Amino acid sequence: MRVYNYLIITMVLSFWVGLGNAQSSNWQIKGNVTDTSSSPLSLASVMVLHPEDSTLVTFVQADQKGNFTIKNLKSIPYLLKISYVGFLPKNIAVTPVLGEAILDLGQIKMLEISKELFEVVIKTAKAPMTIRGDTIEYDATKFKVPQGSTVEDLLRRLPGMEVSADGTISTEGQEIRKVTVDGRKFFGGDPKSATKNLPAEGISKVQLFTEETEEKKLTGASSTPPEKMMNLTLKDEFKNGSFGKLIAGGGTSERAELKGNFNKFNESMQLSIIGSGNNTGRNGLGWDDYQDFRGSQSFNWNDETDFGFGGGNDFMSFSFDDENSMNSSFFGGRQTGLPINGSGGLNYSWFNDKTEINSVYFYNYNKLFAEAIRTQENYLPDQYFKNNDSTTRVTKNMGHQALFRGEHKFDSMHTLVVNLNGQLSNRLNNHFGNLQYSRANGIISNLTQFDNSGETNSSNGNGSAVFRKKYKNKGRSSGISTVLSRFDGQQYNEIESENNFFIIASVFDSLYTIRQTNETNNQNLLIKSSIMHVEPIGKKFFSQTFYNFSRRIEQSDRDVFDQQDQNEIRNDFLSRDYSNIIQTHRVGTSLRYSHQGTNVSIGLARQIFNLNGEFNGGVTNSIDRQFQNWIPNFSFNSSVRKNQHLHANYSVSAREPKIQDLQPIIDNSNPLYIRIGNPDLIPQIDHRLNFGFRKSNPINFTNFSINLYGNFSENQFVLEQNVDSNLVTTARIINYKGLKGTGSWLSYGFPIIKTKLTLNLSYNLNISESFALVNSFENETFSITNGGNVNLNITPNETISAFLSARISYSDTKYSIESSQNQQIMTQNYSASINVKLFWGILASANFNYDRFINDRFDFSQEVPILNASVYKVFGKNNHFETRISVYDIFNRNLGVNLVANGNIVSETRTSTLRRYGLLSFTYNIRGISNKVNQRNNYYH
Amino acid sequence: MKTIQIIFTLLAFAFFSNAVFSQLSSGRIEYDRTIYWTKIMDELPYLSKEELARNKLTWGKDDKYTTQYSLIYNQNASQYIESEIQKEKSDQWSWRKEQLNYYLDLEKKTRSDLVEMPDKIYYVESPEPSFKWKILSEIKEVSGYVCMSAETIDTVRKHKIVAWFTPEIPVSSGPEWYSGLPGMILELDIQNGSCVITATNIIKDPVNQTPTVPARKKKYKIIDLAKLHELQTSYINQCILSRRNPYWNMRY
Repeated sequence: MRVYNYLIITMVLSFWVGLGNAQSSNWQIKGNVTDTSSSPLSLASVMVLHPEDSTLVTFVQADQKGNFTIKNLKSIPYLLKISYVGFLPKNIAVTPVLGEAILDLGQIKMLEISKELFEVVIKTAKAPMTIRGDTIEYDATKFKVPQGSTVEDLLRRLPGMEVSADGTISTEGQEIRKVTVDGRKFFGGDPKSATKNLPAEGISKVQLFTEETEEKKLTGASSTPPEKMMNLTLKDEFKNGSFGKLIAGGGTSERAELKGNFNKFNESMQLSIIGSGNNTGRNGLGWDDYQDFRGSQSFNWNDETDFGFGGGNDFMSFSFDDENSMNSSFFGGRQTGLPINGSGGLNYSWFNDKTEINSVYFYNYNKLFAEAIRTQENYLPDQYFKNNDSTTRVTKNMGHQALFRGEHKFDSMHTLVVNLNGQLSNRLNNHFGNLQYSRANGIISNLTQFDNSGETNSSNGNGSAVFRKKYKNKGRSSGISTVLSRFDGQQYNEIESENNFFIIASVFDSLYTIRQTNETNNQNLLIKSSIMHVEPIGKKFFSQTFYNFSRRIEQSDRDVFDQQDQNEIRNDFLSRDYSNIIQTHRVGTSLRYSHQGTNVSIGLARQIFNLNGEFNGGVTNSIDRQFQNWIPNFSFNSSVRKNQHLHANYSVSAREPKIQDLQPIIDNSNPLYIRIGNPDLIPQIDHRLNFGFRKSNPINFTNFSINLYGNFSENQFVLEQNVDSNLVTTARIINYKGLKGTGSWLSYGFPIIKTKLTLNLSYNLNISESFALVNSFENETFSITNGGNVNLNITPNETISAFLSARISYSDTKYSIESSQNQQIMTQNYSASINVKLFWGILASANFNYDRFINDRFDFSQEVPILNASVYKVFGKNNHFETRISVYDIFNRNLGVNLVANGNIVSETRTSTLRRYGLLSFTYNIRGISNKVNQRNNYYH
Repeated sequence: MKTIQIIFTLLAFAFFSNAVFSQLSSGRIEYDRTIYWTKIMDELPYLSKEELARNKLTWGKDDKYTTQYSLIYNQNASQYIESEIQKEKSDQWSWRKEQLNYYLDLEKKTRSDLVEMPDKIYYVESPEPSFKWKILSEIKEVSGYVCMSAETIDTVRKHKIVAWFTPEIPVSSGPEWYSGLPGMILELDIQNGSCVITATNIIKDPVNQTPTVPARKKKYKIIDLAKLHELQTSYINQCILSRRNPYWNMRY
């Protein structure tokens, strides 16, 4: 055995030595590069390549006379590639001849590229040329043709291509008789049908081939010249894509869900359709659906119309505004109760290099049925009372919305953005039930039965335009914007209630019945305009000056009628009309330092409010007030080192009083809780301070951040309540001492095992002091909340993942009126989400959520565990289909409970809500469905 | 028609004479480096086809970002740095600048690069790497120079690299860390157009501009190229396992 080993080693060794000898590195190649007329091509490049894969071995440059010598080459075959500008690169295969140390190639004649072709392809179209032997190919997409052109129009522009009037294509005087698309025949191979019908935009490459005739293939010689043929390559899928999906599900408790969307897009347009309907309140529309629907218009830059202290020029706007019925369909919170939701829309965008146009139509419908039982305990300085309410609310909302956005870049310096938005909505509302008030000893003081119903119709239209200009002087820019908005609303309500008041010992005291109808017409008109100018001061400083103007006209006409024995009598005490004009001017300037990752800005503005109001209703009243405030601003941002960021901000804002709080309107739609207005209100001033630092290390996957904040308000709008002996509360808004708050937020995340086990910890502290006025007593509420969060992401392998989280918050609240009301509340939330790949390609996921609420003072605790689970399988060619069985609220414990403990109120509301149900659903997805276990607990890529 | 022919002839003449008589052995080349984020996401294996299509739809129209770089070169050395003037830089907000300074000594055939990694800045000292260049048969013009194409593989990032080099500038260097071709690289196409670096301006013999070796500072950790590649490979692998895009924090 050992002998064999030796033998083998010896053989291998001798082989290597032999090989080494054969390849000894002293072979030389020389030659002389000239053009076809034998003039030397000085300084031509000569490359030595491996013939198998064209990899570069070495290179030399010829001398002034075109002579070159390549030394120290191994004695193996090579490919020489000689190149010179304007000439076809020449390939020469060289093989060593045994015993000859020098290979002299002699004169190497290079062939010149036709100058016209060279100029047109290389210089004008900037298209790469591919050289194969003596023929040249080029990329057709580099030849620009107008939109809507056919392939024929494109071919007319290509050098060396001729298209006759009848569409016959020829090159080098030879007709092209065969055209293929992606290698396949197009309509029987008639070249004209392909070139006349296909759009030029869809083509990525035009390839010209010379096809050997059958005769030549067989005999090696041909009596006819080889045929020319053309192949058109279509552009790849992504530039010209479509995707979409359809999900349908049905289940127990008469539950059903349906959702679908379809998108089609290419380089110049995007079209999408979306639709969704369900009575589960789940699987509605979310982030992904919003992005699928709005496409490139999901987030827009340069739409901001209110210029101020901020960066001013380049930031993205995105609105979560509840008034926007479309966005609330995508991002609205889940409602308690039994919902029925439906929505659908169409989005179309079109764009070219300078202009973008987007239009959207969206419809939404939702109906909510909610039966609620509320228990509320009220602690007043001199009395206690308790509410027991049982009410039912049925609401129906319908809305239509149309959006238009246009952006045009006149050139690199001037941009105009126009936004138009129109909405129509209809709301039907019915609220009925019983309210019971009782005193400390359990004696009922009031029983009310009510039945209110109403309808609201509104239309809303607004338009805005922003024009921005940059100047040649870098850093200088200006902007001007204007907004026009109009709202019209009609409201009709029927109010019916029977209020029984009792005196002590349940003796019936009095009956107060309300039967009213009221009609309200509201009209708002808003005109806004802003201008801004940024001027660079040196290289590192900028000054920014802005002026904002806003004029809001609010008109309201409310007629109330008492229903008495089939007659309608106008109630002059409650009927009213008003018109208000709120005008704001703000002018400000700031100085900004911006250099090497540090940005500091300091600024000051003067804000002037003019409030004009006319009020008619029982009394006539008019208001004419002016307020002026200074608004300072400071911000500091720095990220000098990589992955470290430090910021500090101070900002002030002034809020004008709300119109309904300013006018002395008495709102008695709830006769036990009457709200009145306060014409003496002045603006509330809010001061905010913020400091933050964050640092991350992407190599170790650690991150740390700390935030500190403080805020206080001057002349804060505070609710003042007075409760009379019949327990009727009268409330109004007044200016009072401000809220003070401070707090911090800390977080730290790190991997315990890199990529498999990650822990995130966070802690927050909030301290706040606020005031309320009850029966002329000041009640100061001081509360400290400590909270902590622990998140554990477990992703050990491709078949299982788990995300665990625990959140605990403890708050300690102290009241100045009566310390016996002080309370400690602990809320706990634990959740777990587990995804696992089972057998036969079946996947399962489960979500468990457990809420725990403890209030020591009321000896109250509550636990709500919710478990949802589903199993699913992806199947079909390219994983287009999914079938899924889900069970929601397996423990049947969903209560729809809302607990509130603040100020002098502790309340618990239980709303009838959907409990355990099962659902079987099917999904079809054009792009296929991932059958991997979800390993991400976040959505950024 | 005749005028056009004359113009062509003149153009061609100017072009050819330029090629024959000038040898540009020192100068400065300005490059535009454009990165296409949604194309980069195509190579993240953890994203589903639907997520990729959604990315393209939302961001694809407007996903490119361009930065400017300068390559200062002579026959002995070249230095690649971020340009003073950044065209797309926000007028009013200053972002932190990436620390980048790539120096190639063409005589000693060594590199001395200042490379920013996600955690710290490294000073990488190594012999000039030998790329396995495959010479292709395409030619095209970049910034007035006719270039030939060559292809190699970035073994760390697993990217296909296509370089367009011109023998008219007989300096074997180029942008980023690429070199070793019979002429200056004027364009780089990384991973089928995910990132394109292209010369926009070629300035001959600028006054007072010579490549200089980046200064060694104590805060820089000195490593060799093999170690850098090891760090980069390990970082990319961990990011992919953690479902993060490695190129948010590391140069593409």
